[in-house]
Amino acid sequence: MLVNGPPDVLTKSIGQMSLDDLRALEETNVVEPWLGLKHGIAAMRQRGGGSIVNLSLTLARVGAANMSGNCATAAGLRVMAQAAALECGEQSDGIRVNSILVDHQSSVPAEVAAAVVYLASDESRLMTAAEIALEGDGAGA
Amino acid sequence: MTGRLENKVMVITGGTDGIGRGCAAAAAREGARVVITGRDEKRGQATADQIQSDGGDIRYFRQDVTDEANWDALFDELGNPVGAPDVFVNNAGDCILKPIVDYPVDTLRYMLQMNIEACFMGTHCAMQAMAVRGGGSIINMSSVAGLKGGVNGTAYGASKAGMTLFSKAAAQEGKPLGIRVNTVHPGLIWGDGVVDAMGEDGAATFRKMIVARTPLKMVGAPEDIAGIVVFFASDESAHVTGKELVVDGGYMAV
Repeated sequence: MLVNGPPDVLTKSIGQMSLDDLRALEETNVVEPWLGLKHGIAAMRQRGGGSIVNLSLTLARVGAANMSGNCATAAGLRVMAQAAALECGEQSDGIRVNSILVDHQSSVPAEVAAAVVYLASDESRLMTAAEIALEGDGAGA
Repeated sequence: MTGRLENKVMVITGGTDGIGRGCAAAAAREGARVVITGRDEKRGQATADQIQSDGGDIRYFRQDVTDEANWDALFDELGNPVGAPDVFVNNAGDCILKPIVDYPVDTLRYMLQMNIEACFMGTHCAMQAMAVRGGGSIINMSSVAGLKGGVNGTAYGASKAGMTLFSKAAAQEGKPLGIRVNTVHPGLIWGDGVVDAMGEDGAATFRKMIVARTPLKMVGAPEDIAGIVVFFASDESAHVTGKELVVDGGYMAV
């Protein structure tokens, strides 16, 4: 079992944001979990399977003002996880990859933990390339 | 129909070939004052000369979208002979596909640079210029790969999905400024780039595979994307912002 995340959050308008601000978010929220996926998949293939969970934000699905860097990196992570799940499926390597989308304002650690435990356990053995969005108000739907 | 973009200043990055060149030709036919940018001066000038000889108003500026200093130079140069852009098309991009376990991390960083950071810089600069002149339309060239994960596409998909949701955030910020931001999501569009990337045989096999899976049983041409870009550039789409338009022969629907 490998859990990637949680992401960094930056609140800035596009006008205020610098290229370096964006790059810092890309490193933490995309490149690091991507490295986790890459090496996690290689290691899990040796032992015959596993479950990888990426913690991301509900901003992967909706745009919000002053959140463009978070929207971009969360969406990148979401689609990256889907692609990795498909690559694992194609190899029939027994590895599942899923995402948990967390609301950056309202999600509660215990709820996130419960979702992680579910995705780690065999109860979720049919779930891959999927996501659980923890958003009480359904804003990201 | 002509004159749909009469007197609009329209900048297209990566406009020297492929989809960008198709958009530039269509925009020029509709009366836009077009600026194309790209790294290859010879190809850029040839594209501009061709469109000009067909009666278009077009200029070429050399630009490498990954070079931060180039962006200031572009907007400085635009200010003088052409004026601030009414329409800005972040079209430059690149695509490298490979299984994640064989993919170098620096190639991932290059994908993010070409497809997210360049789009950020273009949007950042264009929004500032458009806010001063009271509005405008920004069009970001994403991909069907930015909507759904695909095999060998962890890096490319991440970069195009990033661009897509970045654009949705930009649309929210643009609303009070009269700036619209939309994304276009082509499926496979046939151009020189496909053969360059995959070789003749690889491209032919890929084309067959895509045609088989596409409800309209064809691959697209740059002109198929140009029509959508003209629509987003024109006042016909004045009430449309924060939207994704998929142009893929139905590929995503199955």
